[in-house]
Amino acid sequence: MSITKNSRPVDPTPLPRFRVWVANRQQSFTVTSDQSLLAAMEQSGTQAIDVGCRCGGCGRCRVQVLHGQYESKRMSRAHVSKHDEARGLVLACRILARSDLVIESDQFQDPRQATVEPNNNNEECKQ
Amino acid sequence: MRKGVMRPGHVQIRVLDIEEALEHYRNLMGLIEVETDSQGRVYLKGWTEVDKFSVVLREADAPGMDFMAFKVLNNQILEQLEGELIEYGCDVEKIPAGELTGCGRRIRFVAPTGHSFELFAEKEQTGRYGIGNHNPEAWPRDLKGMKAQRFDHCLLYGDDLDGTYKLFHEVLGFDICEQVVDPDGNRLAQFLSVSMKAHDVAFIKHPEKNKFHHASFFLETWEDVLRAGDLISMTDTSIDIGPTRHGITHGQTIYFFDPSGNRNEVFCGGDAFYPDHAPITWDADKLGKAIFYHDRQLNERFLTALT
Repeated sequence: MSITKNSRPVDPTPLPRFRVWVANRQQSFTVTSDQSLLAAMEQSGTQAIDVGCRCGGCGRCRVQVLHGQYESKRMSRAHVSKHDEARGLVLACRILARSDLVIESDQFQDPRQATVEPNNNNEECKQ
Repeated sequence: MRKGVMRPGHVQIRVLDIEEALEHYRNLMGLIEVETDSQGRVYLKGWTEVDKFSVVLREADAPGMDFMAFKVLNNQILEQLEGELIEYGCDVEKIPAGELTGCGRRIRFVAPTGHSFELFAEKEQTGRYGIGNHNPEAWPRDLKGMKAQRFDHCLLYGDDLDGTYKLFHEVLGFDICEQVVDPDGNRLAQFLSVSMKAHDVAFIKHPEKNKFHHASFFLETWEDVLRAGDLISMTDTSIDIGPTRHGITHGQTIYFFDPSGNRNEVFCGGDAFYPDHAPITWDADKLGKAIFYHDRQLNERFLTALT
């Protein structure tokens, strides 16, 4: 066994790295297996996905996954229904790549652009 | 005219994971964990608050605010206001004492912006954490993180600002302290006070009903706000903006997100308000400076990252 003077802990196996291609923005970045897509994008300095709360709550980073494998953490059901989740409409801040990915960003439904009238809640105080 | 509503009493916030939320609200923000009830809801408070709790966390599949409550002077006032709310046209729900552990009976109504509000008169008073009421020391020595002193106010987004202002003013006795008005005279933002504080609750105009922008907690000094910023970086907590100053209220602030994406603020300062003060008005084209006094422009996130 040899002991070197500058013995720094050696990284065990380096984490798998994957490529993420954001088709609608024609941009790409690299993500490691322990990082959310959004965190990796912010770290890379690209601006391919809009950043909101970064915690699965606000829906601003909603993306459509077109190809590839990923795992996801809990996301607000107000922005990702079970049906959305099943067809790859997810929040970039809550998914972890398990292969190279092709995604489309800008899937946030901005209520300020919506044409439908908001629901009128009959419980509200009305004079 | 004041109607006997005293102060914000509590806010119930939905979180995606209660353990992650506790790490944030207790260990980072420094709220005092009080108890967990039979439904699994966790109660917390700021250390200077005399009532038993002011924040309730509930695990759910979508974050946001369940309701915000105000404490009124006594039960007679509560009955009076209950009658006035019904007379005004509100559908008032009665919630029995003990539904929140240690809290007396509450009445709940939905404001025209879609948010649920509650009034109550009684809550168990456990006193200021760690120092009590008798010959108290300056502060308890075992506080954590940002050492948030109290739950101070909420900022809420919704559509019918005029309707909510009318209800809060006429029935509950709130005054408009500051407002943002567009060239056509429409109010885009309203900061309402029922006390000497610059705001006890605030609203910003938004097409959806019942959206939650942030719950805010009071710190004593600008130094404390800067220290909160250090802690946000040390813990890799999701930052929104700051430390900076608001034009509106002149408070010094930092915004960040809890692990479920609910926005929090810690702030210090803020103007004093008396009921004889005329409202302070900001023009809509000065909105950037009104919200973020140093940057002088809104980030898109301020208007769209909501729960």
